[in-house]
Amino acid sequence: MTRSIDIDQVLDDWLAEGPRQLPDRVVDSITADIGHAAPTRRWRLPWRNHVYRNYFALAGAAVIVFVAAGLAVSLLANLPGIAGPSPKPAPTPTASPTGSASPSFVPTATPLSEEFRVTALLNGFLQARIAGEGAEAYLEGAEYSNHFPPLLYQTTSGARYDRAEFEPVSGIEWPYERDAYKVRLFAGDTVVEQLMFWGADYPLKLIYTDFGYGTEIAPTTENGQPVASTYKYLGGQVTLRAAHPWVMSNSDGNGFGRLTPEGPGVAPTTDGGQRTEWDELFIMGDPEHVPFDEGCLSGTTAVDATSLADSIRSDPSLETTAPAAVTVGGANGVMMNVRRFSGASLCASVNEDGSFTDHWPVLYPIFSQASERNEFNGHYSYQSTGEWMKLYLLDAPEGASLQVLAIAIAAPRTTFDRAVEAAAPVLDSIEFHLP
Amino acid sequence: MDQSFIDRARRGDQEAFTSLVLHFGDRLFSVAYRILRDTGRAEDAVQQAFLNAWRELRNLRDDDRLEAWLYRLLVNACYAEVRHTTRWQPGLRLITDLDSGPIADDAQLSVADRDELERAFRKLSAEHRSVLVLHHYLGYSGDEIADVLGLAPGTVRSRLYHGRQQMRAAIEADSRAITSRGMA
Repeated sequence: MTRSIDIDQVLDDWLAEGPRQLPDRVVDSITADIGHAAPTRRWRLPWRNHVYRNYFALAGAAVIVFVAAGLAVSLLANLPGIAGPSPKPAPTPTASPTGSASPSFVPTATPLSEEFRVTALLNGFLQARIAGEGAEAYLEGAEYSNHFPPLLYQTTSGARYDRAEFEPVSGIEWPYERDAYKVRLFAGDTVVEQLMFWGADYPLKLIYTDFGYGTEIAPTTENGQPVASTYKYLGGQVTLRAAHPWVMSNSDGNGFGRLTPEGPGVAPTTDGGQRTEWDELFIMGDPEHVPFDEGCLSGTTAVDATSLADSIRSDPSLETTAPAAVTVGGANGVMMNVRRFSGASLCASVNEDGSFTDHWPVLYPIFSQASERNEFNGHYSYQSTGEWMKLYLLDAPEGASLQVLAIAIAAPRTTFDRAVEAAAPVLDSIEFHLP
Repeated sequence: MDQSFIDRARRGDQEAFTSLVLHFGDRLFSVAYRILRDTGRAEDAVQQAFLNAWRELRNLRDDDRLEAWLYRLLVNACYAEVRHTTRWQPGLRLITDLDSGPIADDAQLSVADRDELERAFRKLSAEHRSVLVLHHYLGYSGDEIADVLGLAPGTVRSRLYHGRQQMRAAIEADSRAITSRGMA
């Protein structure tokens, strides 16, 4: 005899049971983890130098290779137009006439070696790009962020790819235990290069990031030139285009970007926690100025660029240069340099829960991220980085939901000129879009 | 969730990120526990999901999708937990698990029912469990689950259907076994 089961109701009721509270010690552990931002690294040998330490390992590998051969041959062999490194020490699968892999094929978890798995993913990914469809299935997280490679199926001029190749990128300790591969797609004389990643956290997918973990390697180039991406801020009312070496955030509200360091003495490392100081670019809608000498009491949001500039200039705690008239993205305003000496306090009007009242403080770009947040007069203050900030205050066009757009470039003295120069094409690309 | 917390966390403000953890932590843990059926592994999955969020937050395009994105990271972390954990799992749940949360009306779910459900659920793949939890615990529709997890809607519907079928079949099989043992 069996019972009549309303499985939906049963599952609703049963899944409603159980613990619901994350223990405090886990929160503490997470906080400690992010405090130690430098990622753990595993020691990995480059593909071509894999050495098996004993015969047992070699025998085990042979078994795995044998079991995997059916799948691997179909993936690795006979993929028209794709060349890549061969895993070792395997009896490397050779080309066979068994047909090509389906562009939409995504391997399932099997006891394959990492090399085979990554090779299969890269081959399938590149073949789909040449075929003109199905490459999205190989990418992790593309719908949430700019993890979507530009020029996926064609070059800027619209030419389709006819062949591709890939190689591991060694010499850099990639963060988060990920490995990097440079893929190269050819369309006649045009070459598109992109940096793809693979990690054990997403073993069945490839990862593309439009910042490439902040190395000197541009995430996407076309004939050697970095390819710019479009970024939308403040609800899409402001757009800009930026390319490597800029690393821009993908937020929908206020935006910021960081300039990848370069030049003598800069190690080819990543931003996986190793770097704390960056040259930065900020996009802020209707920022607020909270004067320190008035007790950090809540500030006011200026209704136009000139009055906000006047408020900043009248703050005796700040060093400022004379404002100069500018036009950016068709909007008129003023530009000036602003600084508060290193270690001095800067005000942030903050609600009880720690959030800013309504708008970012206009001096936020020169808040030190490393400083403690201190309570002052019932409000909060941070320490200044001591950096100069080139501040553009623009009157937003009529019809926009914001009054003032602030653009700030903040950098130490030693790199300030480079940051301002690098920001010039980004500023030139700024456009307003009325809601 | 205040926008400024997300903005500040995106720039690397640890205090702001901790606020995100406090805001979303319980919800993520609830989901992770229900997928993994193990408190310790659920805690590990939540920790890994938040660590991934800290690393990748700068790239989140639409702040309104923060919660959905966190669920995506969490479900992936749960998959990893399942892949990486090979330790033996008992077929029966610990009674202490029942003590730490609300319990449905006993008239509908007896202890024997719960044992059957627990055994049946543990037999499902992590992929099927995740879809069932997002639907039956969070109340997400098939399309919403597809959106959160980046799956085709048809795949979600298929997993929901087969997940329910397997649960029903397992429960009915258990019932038959109990009945036949009782008659013997």
